[in-house]
Amino acid sequence: MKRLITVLIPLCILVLIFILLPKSENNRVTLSSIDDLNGLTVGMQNGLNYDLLLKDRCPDAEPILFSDFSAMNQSLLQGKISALLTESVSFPTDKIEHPSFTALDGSLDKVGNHLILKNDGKGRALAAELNEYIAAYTEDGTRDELFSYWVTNYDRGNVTVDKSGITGENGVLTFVAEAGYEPACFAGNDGELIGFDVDFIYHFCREYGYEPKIIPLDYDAMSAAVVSGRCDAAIGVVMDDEREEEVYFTDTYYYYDVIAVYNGDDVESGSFFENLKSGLYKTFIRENRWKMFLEGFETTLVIAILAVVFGSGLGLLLYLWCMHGKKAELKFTSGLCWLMSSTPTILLLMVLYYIVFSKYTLSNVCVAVIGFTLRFGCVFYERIVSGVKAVGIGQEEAAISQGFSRNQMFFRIQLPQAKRFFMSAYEGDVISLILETSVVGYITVMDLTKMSDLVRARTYEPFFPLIATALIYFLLIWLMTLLVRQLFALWDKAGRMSKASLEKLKDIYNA
Amino acid sequence: MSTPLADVNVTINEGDIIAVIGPSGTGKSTLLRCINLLEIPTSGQIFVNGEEITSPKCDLRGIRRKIGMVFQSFNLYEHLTVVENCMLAQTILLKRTSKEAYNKSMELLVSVGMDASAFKYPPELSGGQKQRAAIARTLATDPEIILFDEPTSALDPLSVREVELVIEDLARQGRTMMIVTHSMEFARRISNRVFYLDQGGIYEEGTPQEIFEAPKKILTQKFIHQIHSLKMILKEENRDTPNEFARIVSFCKEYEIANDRIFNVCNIFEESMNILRMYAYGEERAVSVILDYDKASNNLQLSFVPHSLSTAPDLKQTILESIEYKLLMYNAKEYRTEPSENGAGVQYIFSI
Repeated sequence: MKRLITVLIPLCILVLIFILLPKSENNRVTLSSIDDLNGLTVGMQNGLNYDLLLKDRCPDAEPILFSDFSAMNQSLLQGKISALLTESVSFPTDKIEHPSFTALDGSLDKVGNHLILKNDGKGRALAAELNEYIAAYTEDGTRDELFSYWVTNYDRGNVTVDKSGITGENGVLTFVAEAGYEPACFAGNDGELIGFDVDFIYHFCREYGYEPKIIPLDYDAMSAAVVSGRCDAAIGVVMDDEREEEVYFTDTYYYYDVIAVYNGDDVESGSFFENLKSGLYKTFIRENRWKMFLEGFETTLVIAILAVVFGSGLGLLLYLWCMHGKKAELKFTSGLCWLMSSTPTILLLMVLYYIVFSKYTLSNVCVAVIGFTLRFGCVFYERIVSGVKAVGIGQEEAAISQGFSRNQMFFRIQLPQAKRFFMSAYEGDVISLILETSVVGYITVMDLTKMSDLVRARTYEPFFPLIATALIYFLLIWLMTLLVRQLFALWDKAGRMSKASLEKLKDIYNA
Repeated sequence: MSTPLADVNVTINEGDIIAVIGPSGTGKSTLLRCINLLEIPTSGQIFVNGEEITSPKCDLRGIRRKIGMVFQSFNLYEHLTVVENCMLAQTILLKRTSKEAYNKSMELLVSVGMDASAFKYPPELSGGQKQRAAIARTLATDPEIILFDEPTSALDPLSVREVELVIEDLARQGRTMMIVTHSMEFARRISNRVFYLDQGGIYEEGTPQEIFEAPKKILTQKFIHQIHSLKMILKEENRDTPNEFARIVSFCKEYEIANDRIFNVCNIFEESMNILRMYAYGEERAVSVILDYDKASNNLQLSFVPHSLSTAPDLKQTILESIEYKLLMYNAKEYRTEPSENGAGVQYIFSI
């Protein structure tokens, strides 16, 4: 409890500073046409090549790349950028959350959305079916119907995807989609994925007798997921020459315009507490979004606990293996540790998921646990080595000379003392493991961070989901350190008798 | 770190109390540590109770349980209290119950005077207390042989006494023990056999009387009498006289020899060298000069061993003759010549 308070106080001070700090000058401009963008800073999402479009049209505009949609919106609101490039399909929802946003007339480009598949026989066969369906649904007006439902006449909050009539007689298809993108693919009620893309997939599968499975994934990781065979297709992908070399593109299933948006007239914003209330409501209550946070929390907790438990076991086993082994074992282990400590976590996870285990039916959570177990195991191994070194050779010799085996000596004498040297470092390792789990979204795991990203993509509100996520992580770390300390305290007492119970044993001595 | 022991062949009988003495770096600790294979010999055999412990078939852990070892740096298990230190091997290795182990430990702690500190952790103890606790830990498993590796070297003088009394007490109980020590007084008091280690092996062995009162061999004598030596080999073609004087003076200063004696040594050294060089050098034109200092008798002895001689001069006479001329002081207590094993077969010795 004390620890909780000591952390909450500085947090409150930070929030107060945030509220009281003078807001930055708003360099807002009023624009009338796309050509006015020359000489201004324009935000856009990276990976979509909008900077090239902008350069063609307005050579003097300065592109600012964002990886996060809601961060880009926030920058426009705060006047850090003068305009942003977005898609005609998503702007209507954006406008609901930010009424002051105004679109400029005209389009920079018309862009087609595609699905991508693996460039092999199976992939091309599925692509042929998809192309056939795309042609048919364009022809019979289904596309216009869907477009009207999800874009033109989009009734936010009252939309659903008809998931009935799925037979699955031809098997299951796994699709990946960037899920934080309204109205194409986003988390609706209870975190269920809905949107234009989802509806399209269900229409196609109903027609062709498949059962769809849709997994959210970051846009950057899509090619890897398709190429490794982890999924059958990725939806919502823009044509790109380099990407075309790796994967197979279907025909366009719908088109949209790239448009420019600026921050128009100021709209009265509510008081701080009103904003807080609506922010809390939007983040947690609406569409039962708290369930998504809970789900993400569970996933993160499971990965963290399993990785700490298995990782500690692995570290111990590695140490024992080296202790009994010769130079080769030691070399292998130090090589493994070097590899693990010099590979960025995202890379390690992606290599494990998309390359090493791509042919196995291991679930994404399993692969995440394996990745973090390897990492934590190696760190823990090194902690044991340095801890045992700090205990010194003398006690080892004493134990050996008394006739203890190496294992007895290690568990009874070295480890209990080494523990004192690595205890606080171990706590730190657990904390950094929990924080590192936030990148598992790259291998399709829906952890706490990913869930908060999905919510953020719906609320267009970066503040509350972020703070909430930070608080939940803090809670998680607090719980885990408490647990670790408790276990260490138990271990201290394990197998030893207290002074009082020892003294009860005396008979000769007192007599 | 270990010193190679080249040739050791010895039998130790039950009830022997052996003191191992000798200069640093001659393998005393190595010899001791070979007996429970903390140090593994590169060749040869070691038998304990008729069992060859150097054989790979040997139950080494079983043998080690019968051999207790006490270390210079105590090596108590620092996460356990003193009594737990004594109990650990009993409960785990000898499968004694906690009660048996506890009572045995307390009994031993009483006998080494450590019962009051039974529930203290090692870092809370003084050096002497730590070593007594370590001895109790060693005794707890009823070893048939106890090895002491410089048990008092890391202690202050008062603690040395505490620990020596405990070990002497054990000696009176007739246990088989082997003690590496730097304290000759202690070695003499406690042992019935003494090994003097030098030159890669047991250089001389005997009863304490034989070794300490009448050592037979030269290195033993020097060690027992605490004779310190400075040896210089001077070759005519690369002599460095200021350096030679500096070495003599700093050697003498180290043993707090009075300045007029040092002056004397230097004079005799210089004059003798001059004479040997002018009249006596043979073909090799080199002389070994040895300066010995016997701390016990405060005797300083300067010897010259020419590597070859053309004539054999009487150094004392010649110096005296030249001193009249140079008006220098000559003050040696004794002058003699002795046959020598090396060089030209003769050595000139001055006692100063």
